Amino acid sequence: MPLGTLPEKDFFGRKEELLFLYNKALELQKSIAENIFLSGRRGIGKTELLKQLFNHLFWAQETTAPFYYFVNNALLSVSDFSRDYLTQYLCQRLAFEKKESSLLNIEGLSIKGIYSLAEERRAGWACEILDRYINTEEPLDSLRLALGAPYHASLSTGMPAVIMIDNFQMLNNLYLPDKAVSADIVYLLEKPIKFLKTQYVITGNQAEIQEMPLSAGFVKIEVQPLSIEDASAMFSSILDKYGNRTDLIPSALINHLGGNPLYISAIAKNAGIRKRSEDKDFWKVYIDDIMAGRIHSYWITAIKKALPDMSIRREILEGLHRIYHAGEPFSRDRIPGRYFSDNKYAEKITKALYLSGLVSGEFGSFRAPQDRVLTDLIDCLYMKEILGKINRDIEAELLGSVSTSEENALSFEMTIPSVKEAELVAAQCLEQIGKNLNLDRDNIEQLQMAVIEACINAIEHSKGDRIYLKFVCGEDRLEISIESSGSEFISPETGEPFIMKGLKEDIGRGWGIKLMRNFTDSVAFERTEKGMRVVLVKNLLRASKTENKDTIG
Amino acid sequence: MNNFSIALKSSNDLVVIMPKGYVNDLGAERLESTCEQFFNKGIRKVVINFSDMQYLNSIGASVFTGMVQKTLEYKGLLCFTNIKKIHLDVFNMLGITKHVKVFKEELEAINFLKGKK
Repeated sequence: MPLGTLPEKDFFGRKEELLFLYNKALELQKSIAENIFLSGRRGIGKTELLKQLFNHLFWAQETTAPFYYFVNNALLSVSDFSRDYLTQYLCQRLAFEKKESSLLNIEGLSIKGIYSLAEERRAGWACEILDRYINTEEPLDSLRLALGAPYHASLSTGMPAVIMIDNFQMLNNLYLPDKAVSADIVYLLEKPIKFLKTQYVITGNQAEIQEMPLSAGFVKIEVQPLSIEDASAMFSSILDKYGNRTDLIPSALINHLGGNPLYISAIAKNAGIRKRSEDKDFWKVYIDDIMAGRIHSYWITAIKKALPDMSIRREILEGLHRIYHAGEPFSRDRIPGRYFSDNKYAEKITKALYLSGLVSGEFGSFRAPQDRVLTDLIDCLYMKEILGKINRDIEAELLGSVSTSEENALSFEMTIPSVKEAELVAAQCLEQIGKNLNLDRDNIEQLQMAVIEACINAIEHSKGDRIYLKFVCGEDRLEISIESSGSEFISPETGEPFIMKGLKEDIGRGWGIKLMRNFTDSVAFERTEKGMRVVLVKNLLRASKTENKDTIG
Repeated sequence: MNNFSIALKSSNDLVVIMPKGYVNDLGAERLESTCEQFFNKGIRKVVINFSDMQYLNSIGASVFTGMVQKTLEYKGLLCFTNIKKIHLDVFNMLGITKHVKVFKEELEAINFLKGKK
């Protein structure tokens, strides 16, 4: 594999996305160029998807030239970047002509070196680009030339190109000699991304790229977490490589990892090395990794990079712990006092937390990410650094929390069409779930009322044709999430739903939210990768004490 | 979808309306117009028996406020019977029960209305 990608058999759950991107690349032949921003959480597999796309385009067709470039954090002067970008492009482009994979692995090739390669292969178009580059004196002109090279090559050879740029947000940090970092330099890409013979597929830090004005020229495609089936298959495949064949991978652990390939890979490798095969052993491996393994290192590095000032890390950790357990969104002006003691850091901290992926919410209403692994890690750090607990106690506490919340939970999932009165199907299912759990009649009916209202909201605001419901029944609570592709009825500031004025139905809709709140113990509105989600929670201990009356007396 | 229907029983000056199934916006509007038809015919005593009403949503419930308003306009009498606790809670929240008489059984409401002019 030229770019060090996974073998195809180990690349799980991304076939549809890969085929979509591959077909989009081939559409360049018809001068249809759609620039794409591959968005998604940390560790979700964006880089691997891009590399797989490169390899497929490199080997499986001959009409569109692929170019993969990772923006190296160390190469941030305009001159260094231009030279590296141009040489790597020409190397990969020449390699594509005769499928010479050996050319893809050449490191640190000089301009002279690439010139020789171009001459050997009689690639006049490449020599022409290099001649112009050599004769350019101004760094910004060199950068323009390097960025425009794929387009000029397309014009000369008639072959369109797909340019894949990973770690794209680092282009924001390019600087000229004697000048401070200038985010404006990235605007030099504005022209190349408009050419019809070239298509750009970019990825990197989701939050930082979203904040770049240039991203407006890209269609955003969300890389979704792996399904439970694909996540299990990936886990088993890694274990298998370590000679650890088992059918006993706890489904609750797979579910806990949230379909994130980075987490799955870290835990499976760790379990494979230790030859673990019992249910409790897998959880032990998970806790060990959270405390001092790959996942721990990954997030600690991200936290330190986002918050380089050591003097405030402790306070931020305390604040993060509160935010992760607050169960409600917060706006920037609510941070000081409530989550952090000092007002002057609020804006800086919020931005750093958002850009590093430690909180989500691009429109100013922040919340903990939907990432249980990250929550466990923050809990672990909090116990260690703030509460001063010893490792053995932390391990016991984390093991206790994951086993009680996960292993005892029973979950049901269903999908309903986004059509009128589909909410009744959800209500009927809830009735049966309630009976199975021996919930009393009052509580079933109250939850049905809340679910009907949440489903109606989802159906009204959904942009897709499906509503996804999940019922998670723990020992002491029932959590119901209703997710749809709609996103427009949440206020960015408060995280609360809008109640529009003037429509007849809105009188009822306003009541709908009041009813949801009245008949459950908590209602949360969350933005998700799909769109938005309403989470209803009913505490069952309190529920069992209520009286059961079917009709009034 | 058709998850709603209405059954009716009427005598000289009294009608019993029995909504069945899911009372959403459309269902409640049908109830409201049915009620108004009887008011227009001069029948002012209305009993709504909810024993077959399975589900109710917020828009459906809010339409009942219009029905109460109509009853007041026509100087009628409106009674609710056989109502589940959950639906009564909803009507309480919306303030509807301040303007209607609520009985456990239909017969109790009929006897109450017979005594009224």
